Amino acid sequence: MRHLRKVHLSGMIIGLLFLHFGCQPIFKPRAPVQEYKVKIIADAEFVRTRHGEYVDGYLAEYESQFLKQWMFIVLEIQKYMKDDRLIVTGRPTEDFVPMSFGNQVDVQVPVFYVDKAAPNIPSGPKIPMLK
Amino acid sequence: MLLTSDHTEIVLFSAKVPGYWAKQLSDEQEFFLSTQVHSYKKGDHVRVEGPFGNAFASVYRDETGVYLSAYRQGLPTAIIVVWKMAEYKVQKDAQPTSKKDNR
Repeated sequence: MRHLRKVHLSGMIIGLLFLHFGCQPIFKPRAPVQEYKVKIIADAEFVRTRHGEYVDGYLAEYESQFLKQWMFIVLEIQKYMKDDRLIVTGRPTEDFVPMSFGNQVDVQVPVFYVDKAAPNIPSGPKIPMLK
Repeated sequence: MLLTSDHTEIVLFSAKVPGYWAKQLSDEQEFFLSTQVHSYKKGDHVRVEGPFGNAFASVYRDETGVYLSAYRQGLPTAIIVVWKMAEYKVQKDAQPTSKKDNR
């Protein structure tokens, strides 16, 4: 009888999980790690994303196919400054931060979770010595 | 221990934890000393007492300007929660001089 009750209980839990999550997997696979060269274009901000997460980070721009793109890079420690250039590796998300730029209202800026950020210090061109 | 940073902070479970980075002179092992006291500076020699544990934390290293999130860290950060901290004068008489204790 006790065994039957256990079977019933586990079946009920599985049923409830299926009802809640449907056919979708419970644990979504992580997005692959990507690297971007970005420039911070605003001071650190604490924002609420479209999915309801509260995150710290910076608005940054990067270039893709000769076009300037924006993204909100999430960092838990804010030591960088506006105009800093960084190489960031991390995971893009399907989440957005609604932001306003001048007369553009409610621009959906994609959220990017940073795993690693390092200063991007471009090396100067190597000029051969004059003989 | 040798303090290898000025007063800084790490982030543990979304909470900011103030303290110092320090290196144990005997085996070069690195620790984060969790303390709110900020009267020490980089290069000071200190003696600390307190519980020790490992945790995955988000860190920023001043010397390199590199930020690592807790997820990215391959190795956990060794953290000492400082109960007592005293400066240790190495060059003079090798005796600890009590500067300011914590907690």
